[in-house]
Amino acid sequence: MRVTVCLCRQHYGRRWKEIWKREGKLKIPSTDVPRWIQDLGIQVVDPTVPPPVEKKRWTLPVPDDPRFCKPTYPNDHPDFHEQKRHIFNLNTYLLEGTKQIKTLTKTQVIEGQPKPLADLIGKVDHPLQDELIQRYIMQANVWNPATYKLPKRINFRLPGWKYKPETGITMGLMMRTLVENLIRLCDMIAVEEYPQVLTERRHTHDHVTWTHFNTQGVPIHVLAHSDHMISSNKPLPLFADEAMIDSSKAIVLPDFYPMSPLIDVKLHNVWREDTCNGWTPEYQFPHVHNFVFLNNDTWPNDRRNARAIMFCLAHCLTQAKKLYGEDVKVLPKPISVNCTHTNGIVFHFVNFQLNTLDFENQEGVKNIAWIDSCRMYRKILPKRAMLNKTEYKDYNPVAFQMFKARYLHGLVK
Amino acid sequence: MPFNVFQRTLRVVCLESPATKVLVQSCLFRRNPLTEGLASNKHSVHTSACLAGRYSGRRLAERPEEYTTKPLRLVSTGGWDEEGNHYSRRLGGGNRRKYRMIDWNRARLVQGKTPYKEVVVSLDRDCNRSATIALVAAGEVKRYILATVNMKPGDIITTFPACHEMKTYTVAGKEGDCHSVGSLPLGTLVNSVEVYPGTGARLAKSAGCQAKVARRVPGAVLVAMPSGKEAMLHPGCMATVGQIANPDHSKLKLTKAGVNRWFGIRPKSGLKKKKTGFDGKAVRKKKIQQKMAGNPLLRNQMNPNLKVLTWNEGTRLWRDDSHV
Repeated sequence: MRVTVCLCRQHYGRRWKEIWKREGKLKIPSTDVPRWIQDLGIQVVDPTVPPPVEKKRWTLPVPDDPRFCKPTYPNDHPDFHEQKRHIFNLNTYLLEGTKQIKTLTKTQVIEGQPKPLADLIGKVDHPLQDELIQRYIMQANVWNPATYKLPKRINFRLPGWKYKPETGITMGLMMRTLVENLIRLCDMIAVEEYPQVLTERRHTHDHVTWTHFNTQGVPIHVLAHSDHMISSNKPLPLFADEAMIDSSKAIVLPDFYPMSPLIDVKLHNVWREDTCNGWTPEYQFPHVHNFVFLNNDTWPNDRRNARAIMFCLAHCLTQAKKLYGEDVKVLPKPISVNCTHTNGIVFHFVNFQLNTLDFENQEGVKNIAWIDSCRMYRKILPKRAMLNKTEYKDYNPVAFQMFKARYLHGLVK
Repeated sequence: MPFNVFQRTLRVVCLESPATKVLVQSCLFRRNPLTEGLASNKHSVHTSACLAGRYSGRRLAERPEEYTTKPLRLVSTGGWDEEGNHYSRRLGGGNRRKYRMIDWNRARLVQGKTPYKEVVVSLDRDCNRSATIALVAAGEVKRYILATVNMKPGDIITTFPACHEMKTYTVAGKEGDCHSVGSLPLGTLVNSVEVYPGTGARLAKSAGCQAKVARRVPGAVLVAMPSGKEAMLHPGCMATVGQIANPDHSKLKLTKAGVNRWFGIRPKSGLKKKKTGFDGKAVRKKKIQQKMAGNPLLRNQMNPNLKVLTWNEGTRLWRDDSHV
């Protein structure tokens, strides 16, 4: 056999096996402390165990800091009662709308506006008012650099279309700027002819009032909110005369059998027995003339009107209880109030006159409410995207004149 | 009246006669992992809120304690289990849905022996089922039930109290009214039939379905189900008179393959497979109608070996309620 390079080559496999047999196992030296060190009495520390850290509990620098207050549970509320009561508030969405509110508040509902307000339209005008309002509309909708995140649009004609996230002016901000400007314009127009506005009237923001009454033996607690409240030191003139009040006796209120008229008025444990008109007792302008609240929702108009009528009733009731005592049963003199609610585009007007406090039976004199609405302008959103191409057109000057008539009511004689 | 809609009940019958076995196997189909291995404890009852099994591909995100008409939020599972198992490849995607609770127990609000009248407020389409649903209201209570064919808003429907005895005289049922099966005349077309008294409707709930009160035997009523089989029921089981609305649902055509994707169904693998019984039925001679006998519904009094187990969420155990 010829000895070649191939044969002389070292066999790596056999070599590897030898080495692996000898050094393949990992030999770990014992980490135990030797006996002679333990006998010396030296303290031995295990390096793998971390030393104990003293945990210091963080405490509030100020004990009643409102940023760190804990949420209160309903059971801990000071007004918590075990008995549940019906409560009507801003979120009450009635199943039957105005039809249901007729029976609940014993009211005759008339479509249209009362005669004293119809006479006021176009009475005190400013030559530049239409031009100004169109600027207010643009200010509220366009001329605002706000970039808030807008809610996702819903378009039932394009069910498969996914809208991209959009930013801009929110609905609430738009409504607030427009309505504040409109009220300020009303102030400016009225001061020229009726300077007693400055001494007779006050303007309140974010007003809240609460009261309660019994309908057919069931107590209802009403919590009424309003964004703008115009009050005075004199009561508001009435809408209906005595002949009209007497004619309301013939009205038959709707029946909901087998439903109860209280359906969708929810039961809660937290309620108050007292009545509050939102101000201190010494306040000199407690007579409500006109209040405005903003509809930042997608409800039908019928449900919104129902809510407004109940709020009007709450304001009249608090006024009656303040004037004639808490336990008043028979109303000596009717009380009236104006209400406007809007989503920034369409304005709804409700005028209410409280004629009776007898809610126990459905016969006799009824309260009267007038319902009317007017669209101020038309806002046409683009179909898919490009919100900056929104169109604003068909400006209607009657809407502001109706709004202004509610403001002037009580000033003009 | 508060009631726990998510209470799962398991009714176990120690099968003695072959007749009861047939009925229990045909009517009660829900599998339960706890009782799967036991021969006697094969099947269980479940209430409506369990959302019709895991193959719907949706799971409830919120579980209120009381009945509400508020639409509840659903989460799509995509074929994945709560324990992380992928049990189906063909689920996923689809349109978003909301779950509307339906009150299967019509007689729940009946107090004493006075009939309970309700007014139909509106009819609505529900994406979780083929049948149309109706919103009904009485007093201060609103609830959803299944609508019948000729139901319209403004109708007044009545629920009569349950009668647990077989009546010698019967009442002609008006459409939409709810009676005990024992008090309806023979030949009446009914829907939403209970299998056990007071447990909620189980039979004839899909669009256009109707069962028929076929005949009577001593102590029980035989009801012909939509499949043609007959079920022997306790006379106290409640049933609604009439046919379920939306009878044209079976004529609906899916115009393209993508429509299945809207419903949350993903395509098949595409590989050729051997055909099974799932792919169709050979045309054979028609069988004689299968009849079921036995009366498991009176078993509280009759069958001493009965066990009634109730699921307790707190202890995560089945509780024995046989003595109740």
